[in-house]
Amino acid sequence: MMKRNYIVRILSLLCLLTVRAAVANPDLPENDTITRWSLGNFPKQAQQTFEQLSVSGYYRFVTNYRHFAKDQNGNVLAYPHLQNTPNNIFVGDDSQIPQLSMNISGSLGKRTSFGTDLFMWTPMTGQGEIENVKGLNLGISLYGSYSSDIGDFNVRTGGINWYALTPFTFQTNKGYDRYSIFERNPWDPNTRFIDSRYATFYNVGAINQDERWGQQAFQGIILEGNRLPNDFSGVIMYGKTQLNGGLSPVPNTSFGGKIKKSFQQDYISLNTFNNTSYSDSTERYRAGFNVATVEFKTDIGEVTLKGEVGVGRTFDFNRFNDWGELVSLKASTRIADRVPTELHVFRLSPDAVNNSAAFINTARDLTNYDTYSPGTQPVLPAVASAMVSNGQLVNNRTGFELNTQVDVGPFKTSIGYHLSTELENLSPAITYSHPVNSLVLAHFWRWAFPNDVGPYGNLSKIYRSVYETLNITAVDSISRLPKSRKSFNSLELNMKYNTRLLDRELYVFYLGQYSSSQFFVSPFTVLSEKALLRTYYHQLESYWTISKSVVWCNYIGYERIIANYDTETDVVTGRPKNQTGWSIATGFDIKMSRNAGLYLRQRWMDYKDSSFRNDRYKGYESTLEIKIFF
Amino acid sequence: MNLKKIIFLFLTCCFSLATAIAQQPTTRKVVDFTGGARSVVTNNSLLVKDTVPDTTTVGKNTGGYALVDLGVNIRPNQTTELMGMFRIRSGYGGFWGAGVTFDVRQLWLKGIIGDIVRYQVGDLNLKQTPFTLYNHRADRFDSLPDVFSLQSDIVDYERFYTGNTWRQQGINVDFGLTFAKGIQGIDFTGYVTRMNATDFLSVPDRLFAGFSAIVVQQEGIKLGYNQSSIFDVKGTSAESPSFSNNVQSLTAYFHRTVQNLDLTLDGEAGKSSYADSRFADRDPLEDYFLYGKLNGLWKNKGIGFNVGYINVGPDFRSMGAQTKEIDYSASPEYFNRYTNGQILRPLDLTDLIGNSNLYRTSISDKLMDIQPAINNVLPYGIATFNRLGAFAGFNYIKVKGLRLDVTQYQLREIRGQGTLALKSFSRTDINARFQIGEVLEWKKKLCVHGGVFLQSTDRKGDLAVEDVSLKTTRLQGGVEVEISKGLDLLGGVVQLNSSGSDFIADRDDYTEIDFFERVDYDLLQQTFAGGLRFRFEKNIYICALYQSSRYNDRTKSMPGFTINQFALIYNMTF
Amino acid sequence: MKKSLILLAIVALFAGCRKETDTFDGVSIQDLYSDFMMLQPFNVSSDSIDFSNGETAVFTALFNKPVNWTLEISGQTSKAKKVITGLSKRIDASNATWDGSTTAFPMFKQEACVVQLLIDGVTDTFQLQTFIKSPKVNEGLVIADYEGGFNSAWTRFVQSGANMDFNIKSDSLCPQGAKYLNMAGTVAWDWLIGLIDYPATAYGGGNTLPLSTNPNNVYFNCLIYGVPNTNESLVLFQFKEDENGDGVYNSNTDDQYDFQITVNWAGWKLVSIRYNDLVSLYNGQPTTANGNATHNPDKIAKVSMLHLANPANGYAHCKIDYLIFTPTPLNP
Repeated sequence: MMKRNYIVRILSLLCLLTVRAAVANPDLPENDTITRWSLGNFPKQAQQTFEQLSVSGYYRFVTNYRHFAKDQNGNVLAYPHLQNTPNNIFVGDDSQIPQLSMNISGSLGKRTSFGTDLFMWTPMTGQGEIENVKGLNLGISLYGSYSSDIGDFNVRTGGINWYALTPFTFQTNKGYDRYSIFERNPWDPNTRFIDSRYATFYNVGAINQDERWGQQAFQGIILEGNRLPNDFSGVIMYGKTQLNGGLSPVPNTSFGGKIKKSFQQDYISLNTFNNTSYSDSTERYRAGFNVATVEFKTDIGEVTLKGEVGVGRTFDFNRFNDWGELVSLKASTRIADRVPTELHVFRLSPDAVNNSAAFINTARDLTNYDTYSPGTQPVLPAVASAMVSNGQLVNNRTGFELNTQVDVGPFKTSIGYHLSTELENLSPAITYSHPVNSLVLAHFWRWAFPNDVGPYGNLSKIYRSVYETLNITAVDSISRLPKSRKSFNSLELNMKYNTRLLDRELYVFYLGQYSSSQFFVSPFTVLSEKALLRTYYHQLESYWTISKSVVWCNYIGYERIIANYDTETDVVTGRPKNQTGWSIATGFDIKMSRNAGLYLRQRWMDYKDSSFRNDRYKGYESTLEIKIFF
Repeated sequence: MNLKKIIFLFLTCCFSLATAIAQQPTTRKVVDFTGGARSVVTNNSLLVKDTVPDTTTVGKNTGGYALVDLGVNIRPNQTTELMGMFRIRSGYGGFWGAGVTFDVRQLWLKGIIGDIVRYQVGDLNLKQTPFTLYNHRADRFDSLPDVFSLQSDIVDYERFYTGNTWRQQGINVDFGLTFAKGIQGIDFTGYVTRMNATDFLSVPDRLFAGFSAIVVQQEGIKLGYNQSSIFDVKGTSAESPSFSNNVQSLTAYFHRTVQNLDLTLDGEAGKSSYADSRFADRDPLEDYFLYGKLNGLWKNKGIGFNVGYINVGPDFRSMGAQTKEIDYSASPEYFNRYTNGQILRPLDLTDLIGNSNLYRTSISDKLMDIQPAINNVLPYGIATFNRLGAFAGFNYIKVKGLRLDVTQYQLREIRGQGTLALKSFSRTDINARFQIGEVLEWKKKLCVHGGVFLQSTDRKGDLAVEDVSLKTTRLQGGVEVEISKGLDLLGGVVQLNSSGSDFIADRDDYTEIDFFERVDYDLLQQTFAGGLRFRFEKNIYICALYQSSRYNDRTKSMPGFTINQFALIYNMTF
Repeated sequence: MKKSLILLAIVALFAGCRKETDTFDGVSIQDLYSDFMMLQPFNVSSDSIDFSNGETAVFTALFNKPVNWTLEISGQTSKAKKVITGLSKRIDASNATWDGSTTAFPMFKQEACVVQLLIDGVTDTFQLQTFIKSPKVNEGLVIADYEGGFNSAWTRFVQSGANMDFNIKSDSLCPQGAKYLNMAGTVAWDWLIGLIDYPATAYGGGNTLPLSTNPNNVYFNCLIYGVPNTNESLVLFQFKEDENGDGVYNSNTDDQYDFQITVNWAGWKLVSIRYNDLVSLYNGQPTTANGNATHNPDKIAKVSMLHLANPANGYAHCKIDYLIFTPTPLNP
C-alpha cells in the first residue's frame, strides 16, 4: 500500500513537470465517438452575443403630504373614511407607475429585436427590503422586420404592445388638447429647457406625450405590411386586450385588422376589430362584439374630409344582437389657416359596442365568465350617460362639434362647441367629473380603483381621476328609465397668452368648460334649472420662467356643479346636488442638472356640496417630485 | 488506483497551478450580453371520443408566454469568464405585471489556470461516456420532420440538452498532459456535482463525481479510463443512510484509413455497483457491460456501414447513463383531465414532442418509468440493462442532398423477468432526408423527409400467461418548401402504432422488481402538422403552426381524443 | 488494428454466451396469475381503540402473491369511511395502520366499525369488526364548528335577496359533529350573498388569534359541501392582521390575506392551505398587501368568510363546517 501511495505522489509531481508544456484545447470538435475530447462540459464554443443591448428609463420619486382642515367644531373636513386620518404621508405613485423604470431592449440580428421593462419600487414605510416590489409593467415584446420586393413587413409579438387602428376599432381618444397642465403626469419628460413643456403647449397645443397617447394596450401578435403593391398596406392583430385579458386558459380572444389603399395624401381603409369571450364555465356560450368600418381621408380644395363609418354589434350567450351604425365625419380647414376650423358630425348606435375603441360604452353590458383570473375584468358594464370633454365619443349618441382656433397677437384661443343627444333612452343616470381637484380626489383611494365609493356611494375612481354618478329621479315607475332621452351641450374655451415679465417668459392659460344635460335639445349650454345637470369649470394657470433653471407655476380653479329637482335629493335638506369646488395652487419646476428635475407643488382645496353635507373636504396637499431620465 | 487517489492527483495539479492566476495580466473589463427571447401563443381544442359525450371537460383553451433570457457575460481578464442569466417570463394574457416571474436561468464561472487547466464552477452541461454519464435521448424523436423539430428544439433549449449532456451543478476541470516519448499525451476531465442537499435529518448531501483520463498513444489510437460515482457524504444528516452507485469503464478508439475506407473501432467495457443502506437486507447490485462498434466509410462512394455489439448485464446500474429524459408521470401542459369522470389524460404525441414540462434537466437517482409503447427495446439507450445482442447499420450519402440511414438491432434479455424465458427484441430504424432543391440546383430549399421505425418484443414462455408480443411502428414524413426568400412552407405527419402486450415491471426504490402489471396495447396515435415559417436569421424565426393529434386506444382502456392546436411562435434563441 | 478486432471478436463471442437460466428478476408471473390464497387470516390488532389517546389499529394478512388490496373501514353510526389501499403480499403495520382519520366524510364518532378487505380479482371479501372507544382529536384552534350555534361575538351580514339561508343546520351527513352552516340565496345585483366575521376576541385570547408566529406552521382548513347541480359558489376567506397592535385591522395599513375557493365539486371536501401560501387579492386578482406584506398568523385580528356567486347565474348554495387552524394540514 505504501508503495502505491508513493507511486501516486511521484506521478503527481511528474504531471507538474509536464503539464506546463500542455495547453488544453477548448475548441476540439464534437463527434459521436466515445474517446475523443467529446466529453466534459458543453458547449465548448463561446455563446453568441447580442448585437446590441440598451437600457434606458427613468427614476421618479414622488411623495405627497395631505392635510384636512377642521371646522369650528373641531370636525375634520373630509370624507367619512378619512375622518380618522386627517394627515397622510404617501411615497410613490399608486397609478401603476413605479419609481424606477428601466426599458431594456436588445437585438440578436439586424432585423430582430426584443424589449422589456423592469420596474422597482419601494414604498419607504420603514420595513426595508421585505416591502420592495419588482416586476414588469408592460411585459416582453419581440419585434421583427423584413423588406422584400412586394413590401415591408413588421411583426411584433408578446406584449404589452401599444397600438392603434382607427377610432372605432382600436384606439383611445386623443381629444382636442384642452386640459390643464399644472399637475405633472408620470410620463412627462424632463426637457432640455425647463419651460419647454409650457412653450410647447402654447405653440403647438399639445405637450410631449408618451408612446401610449391615443393607443391601446394589446398582447399577442401584430403583423404589419407596408409598401405593398398598388399602394396597399395592412395590419393583422390577434391576441388579448386589457379588458379581455387574463392569465387563465379561457380562450378570450380579440382579433382585428386593416387594409389601406393610399392615393398620395388621401386614403381609404377597411378596418375591423372583434372580441370573443366566454360567458360560462364550459365555454359553450360566447359573448363579445364585432365592429367593421371604412375610414377615409381626402382633400377637396381647401377642405379636408376625414371620417370613419361602420357597423358594430354585440353578442352574449350565443345570441347575436342587431348591428348598429357608427359614423364620425370631420371636415376641416387647414391647420395653417388663420382660423382653422373643424366640423365633426357623429352618430353612434347603442348597439355598437367596442371596449377597445375610442368611444365609451354607455349602452350595453358585456360579460366574461372568466371572472377571477388575474388580469381579467369580469364584467364590462356600460357606464351611465357621460358628460365628457369635446372629442370624446360615446355610443348611444348623435350630434356635432365645432372646434376652432383663433390667434390674435399673443393670444391663442381654442374654442369647442358640442351638441349631442341620446339615440335611445337607456340610462337613469349621468356621470361627470371634478377636474379642478381631480388628482387630489383620486388620492383619497390609494392602490385600488373602486366603484361607488365616497360619502354617498356615487364616486368611482379611474386612472388618476374620479367621476361622479348622478341618479335621475324623474323616471318611469315601471321601467325605471327617465321620461325622455337626454341631450348634452358643452362649450370649451382654452385661451393661451405669452408675454415677457421682467424680461422672463410668462405663459398664462385659461381653460373654461361649461356643460349641461337636459331632457330637451338646446342649441347652447342650458344655464337654468331646466337642465338636469350643469357643470362650470374654470382653470387659470400661469408659468413664469424665473431663470434658466426655475419656473414658477401657479393655478387657480373653480367648479360649480348644479343639478335640478329631477335628480336625486338629499334626505335631510331635500335639495339636489349643489357643489362648489375651489383650488389654489403654486409650485416650482427646478432643473437640477441635465435630465434631472425637481418639481414642487402645493395645492389648497376647498370643496362642498351645500345640499349633501357629508360631501365636503378642505385641506391641502403638498407634492415633491424628482425625476431623472437616463 | 481508486477514486480518492485520482482525486488527490487531480487536486495536487490544480492547487499548484493556482498560483498562476496571480500572474495573469490585468486587462480591461469586457461585458457582453447574451441570451434570447421567445413568444408563444397557442389556441387548443379537445375533442373526446367516449361512449358517453363529454359534457364536463372545457374543450378549448389558450396559452402562451413571452420570455427574455438575459445573460451577462463578464470577462474580468483574458482567462476568466463569468455568466449570469436571468429569465423574465410573462404569461400570455397578464397585463400590468400580472403573471410575471423572474428566475436565474444559469450562473457559472469558468477560466483557465496558468494556460493549462480549464475549469467551470456553477451550472454545467456534462457528458462523459454512454455508460457513465450520458443523456441518451432514448425516447426523443430526434429525426422528426422540421415542422415538429421547431417544437422539440424549444424543449432542448428549455432543458439545456446540448447534445447528450445533462444539466448539473458543481465543478468541472479539464486539462491535458503532453509527453515527448511513448505516448502523445493524456487528456483529463473531471467533475464533482451535487445531486441534492441535506435536510439535516434523514437526507444526506448526495454528490456525483467522475473523471476520465484519455491516453492518446498516437494519432488514431486512444485509450481511456472513466469513473463515475454517486455517493452520500457521511455526517451531513442526523440519520446516515448511504447510497452509492459506482461505474468504472475502459474506452478504446482506433482509427485507420485503408485506401478509401475510413475504419473506426470504438468501444467501452466496465462494471457497476449499486448499494443503498436503507435496504440492508439486499446484496449490492453488481454487473458488467461490454459495448463495441465498428464504423466504416468509403468517402469516395459516400457509403458507410457500422456493426456493433451490446452486452449490458441485468444488474448494471448507472444512474448517470440510465436516467430518462422524459418523465412519464408528469402531467400534460393542458387538458390534464378529460371525460365526464375527469380521468387523467394520457400523454400523446403532441405532448411528447413539444411539452418541455415533461422533460428532466438533471439525472435521477432512481430508475425512471419506461413507456413500452414508445420504446421497449432500448428504453435507457445503449446503457439499457439486461440486453445482449448486436446491431448493424448502413449509410448512404453519395448523392448530393440525399442521406439514408438504416440500422438494425437484434437483442435479447440476459435474465428473465418473472420467468426463466427471455424476451427477444428487434428494432429497425430507417430514415431518409432528400434535399431535392440541392439536387436540382434550385435556388430555393425543397426537402422531403421520411422515416420508418419498427420495434418488436417477443417472449415464449412455458405457460401462455408468460407470453409477450409487442410491436411498435412509427412512420413519419415531412416536407419543407421555401416559397419565398426565408419563407418556408412546412408539413409533416407522424404515426405511432403499438399493438400487443407486455408486462411492465413495478420497481422499488432499490430498482428491483416488486410486481408485474400486464398491459395490452392497441394504440394508434397520429399527428399532422403544417405551418409557415419565416427565417429572419439563423435560429431566429416566426412561425404559424397548426397541428392535429389523434389518440385512439382500441383496447378502450382509455377513451380516445383529438387535440387541435394553433400556435404562433416567435423564437430568438441561439 | 487487426489484433484489436480479433480481441474484440473473442471477447464478444465469450460474452455472447451470457445467459442466466436458473434465476429471474421479480416475482413469478406464473404465481401472479395463479389462483389467490390467503396464507394468514385477516386480523386487527385490537377490537377497541382509543384514538384520542394516540392508539392506532393495525391490520394484518398474508397472501400467496402480491395483490392489489383495499381496506374499507365503515362507521356504523356516522357512515364515515376510511379507505387504505396497497399492493403487496403482506398487510402489516407498514402499510395498514389506521390512526382514526377519515377518507370520506363525515368523521368517525364513538361507534362500531366494520372493516372489509377487498382484493382485486378475488370475489370473496374478508370482514371483521372493531370499536372506536374514543374518536381522533385534531390539534388546533377551531374557529367555527357551529355545534354551539352562533357565537355572539361573530357578526353576520346577509343580503336581502331571494331564497336566502345563512343558518346553522343539522343533518345525518354533517361531516363533523352534528351541525354545519348552510349558505344559499339569489342576489341579482351583487356577488356577495352573505358573510360572517370571526373576530379574534371571540376566542378569548385578546385582539389576535393565539397562533404560531411562523406562517409555515399554520394551516387553515375547512370542510365545504358543494351542492350538486347548482350554480358555482365562491367562498372567500379574508385573514385580517392587526400588525401595529392597535386593536383594529386597518385596510390601508395592515395586511389582509385571502383564500378564495371555487366550489366546483359535489359533496363534502376538505380544503387546506398553509398560511404562508395565502396571497392578497383585489377583485380576485393578486395584489400587494397594504401592510408589511409579511404573513403574521399570530396577528390575525379577524377572519371574514364571504359567500359569493356570479349574480348573472342566479341561485347559489353551499355548506361549510369545521373552520380550524392546525400546525399541519388537517388529517380529519
